[in-house]
Amino acid sequence: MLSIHNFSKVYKGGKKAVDNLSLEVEAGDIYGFIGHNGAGKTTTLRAIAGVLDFEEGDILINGMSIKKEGVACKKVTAYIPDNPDLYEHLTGIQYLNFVGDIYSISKSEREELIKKYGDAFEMTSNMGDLLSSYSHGMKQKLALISALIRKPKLLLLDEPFVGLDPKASHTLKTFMAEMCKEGSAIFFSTHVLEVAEKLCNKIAIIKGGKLIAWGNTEEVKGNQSLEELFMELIEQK
Amino acid sequence: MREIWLLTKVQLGTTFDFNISQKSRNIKKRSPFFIVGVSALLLLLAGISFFYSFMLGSNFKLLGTIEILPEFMMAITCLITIITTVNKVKGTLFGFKDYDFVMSLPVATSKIVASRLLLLYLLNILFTSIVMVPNTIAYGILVKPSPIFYIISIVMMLFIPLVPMIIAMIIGTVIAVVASRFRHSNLVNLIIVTAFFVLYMVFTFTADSAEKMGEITTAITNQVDNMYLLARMFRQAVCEYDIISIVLFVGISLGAFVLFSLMVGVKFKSINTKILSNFTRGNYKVGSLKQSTPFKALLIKEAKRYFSSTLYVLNTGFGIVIMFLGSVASLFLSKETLAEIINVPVLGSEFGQIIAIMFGFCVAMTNVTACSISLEGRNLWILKESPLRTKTIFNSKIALNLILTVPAVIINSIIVFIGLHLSLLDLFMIILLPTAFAFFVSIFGLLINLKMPNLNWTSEVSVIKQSGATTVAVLFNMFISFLPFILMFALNIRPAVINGAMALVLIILSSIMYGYINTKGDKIFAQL
Repeated sequence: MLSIHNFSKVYKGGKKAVDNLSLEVEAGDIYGFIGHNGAGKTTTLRAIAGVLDFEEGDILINGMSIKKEGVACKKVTAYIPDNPDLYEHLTGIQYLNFVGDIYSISKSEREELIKKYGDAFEMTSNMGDLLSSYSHGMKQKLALISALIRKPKLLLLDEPFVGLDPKASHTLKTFMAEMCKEGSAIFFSTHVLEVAEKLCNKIAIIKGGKLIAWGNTEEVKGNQSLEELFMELIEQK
Repeated sequence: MREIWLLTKVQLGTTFDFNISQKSRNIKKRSPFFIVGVSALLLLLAGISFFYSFMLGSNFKLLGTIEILPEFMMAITCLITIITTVNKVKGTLFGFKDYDFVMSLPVATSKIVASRLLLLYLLNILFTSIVMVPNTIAYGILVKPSPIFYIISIVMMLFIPLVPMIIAMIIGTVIAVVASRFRHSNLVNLIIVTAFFVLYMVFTFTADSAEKMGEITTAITNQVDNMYLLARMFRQAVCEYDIISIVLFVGISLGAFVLFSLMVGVKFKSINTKILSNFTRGNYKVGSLKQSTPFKALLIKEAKRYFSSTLYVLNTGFGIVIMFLGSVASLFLSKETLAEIINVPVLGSEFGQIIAIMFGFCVAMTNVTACSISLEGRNLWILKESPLRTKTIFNSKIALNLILTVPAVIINSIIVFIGLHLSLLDLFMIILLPTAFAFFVSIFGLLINLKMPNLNWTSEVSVIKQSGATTVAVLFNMFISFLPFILMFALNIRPAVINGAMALVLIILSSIMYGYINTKGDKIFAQL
């Protein structure tokens, strides 16, 4: 579903945020992407989503290059940043309808899916209000609804559990599992190692822009807890 | 007192977007440029103010009513203080962003209120000085009063903004409280400010000569004299050195301000709570939704963004308002009168061609695309993440600019065609030239903004009014829209020929720029 080949990103000023990263995410995977602040997680996610331009390496989604066939890749992908800034001059429903139009979701399907996910995240009653009146958690929930109604084959999430209440976190985990059962793949960054350990069938750990461990969660962590492994790898020079 | 000043100092830094701390590295780095730039701007404004006061004073002197000059300028200052402060109430006195932080500090609420009022006073006294100091000098040159005039004028000047500030704060608070109950609170603001603007334009159109302006001004001042007691006191104090008027003016201004401050102090928390509470219904149910194409969805999004910002509409929409006022005026006024108002010769049968150029200028000022990329700001990820061709995004931005201008051009052209009994050639050119300008301005603005984006803004003022892209676009469009005028007088060629050639050049340039955006736009957009 997602193939990253030798991806590197150098920012203006010479800082190499990601260095020669290669990774495979298959259909049905819930792939956790772990690393400390500034390790290169967001840069990688933004590049996969087609938000960030890059020169070195290539990223393939469903066999298509994000560089060469960006529009086709984006049609099957949904990306939610860690702090989703949405159009504050629109109401929740206007934003979802906007997304529905951009992704050409049929009228009946969007009505059904907005109701399904809106009710699940307890957001339906707030959808008539302007996004400027939403709290951080509400914006996060709406952004998630906007991603889920697209039925993406690849869901990219940057710190999806930050700002969500416990019930919404549980709801999201349920939908993530449901999506993967249906053949989609999820690639998400997180600092919550317990969630990654329980939820992900695969994990990758990034340090200073380089992958230092990746693969099946059980194989990667061995007999240790994920937290112990993470601390050990991060403290190695 | 220290706490009040500390709070005010921080707000001044935020208001003017600079760190006023002398220890800051930033201020050291840009202080020479910043100080020279601000000083030059203040001097320019003071110069314009002096010129205006002196010209007006000279007219008053001819009419034998020079003593109304200080009173008239004081009334103008008060009016502008009210207009500008009404919009500042929300965000400065009430509903300001750091309300939670400031209120959690161990500082008495009365001191917080005092710091907010001091900030508003400092902003207003700066403006009052720019108008009133040059006016005092102009009056001094024309009348040659005794030195006591200058002393009284300067003392009185310090108290001029107080009562207008109170009036503005009351109006602003009512608007903010009422608007917080409505979803489209910006609309209330927009209507009020547009109404003031239209009134000003009507006044300028009506006062079509210097003498007439003098007569109208005298009539207005007489009205003000009867209606606004403080204005009469100001005249009697400054021009007649009347001690009772000085004491009353200072006493009333200061007393009212202290009383108002105390009242605000009592209601500060409850008003802020009302204003800071967002309008929410929380009773939405998913019903039937409308489906559109991606292009239409983007266009609707652009339009909603445009009309959600009072500042955006006011800064780009005044050309259309002027065009409409001018067209309506053509139904009631003759060609000769209109030519006199806009200060152009009638040029016999060529007046229609001049209207085409004037309409072109109005359209050239409707520069919506010049900041439309920058305004995406932190929302840009949404467009970049969406499966959209860059061309569709650009087209939606260009289309909004065209929708705002082209129908207005056509409707107003028909109005002037009927009003001024123009020829069909004139009508054709009045539609063609401004429409060519509409395409040029829309595409050029977008191109400039792509080349000079600012996506990291915190206040939209910085991209709508102060960005490099907007400045370049406005200045270039202004120049190019006046080019037919310059050519007309320099080359002695028939205006219709110049306008036709200009329209052709604009269409060719627009096509070249559009082609460039469509070929290079993907790469530029990806790098944003």
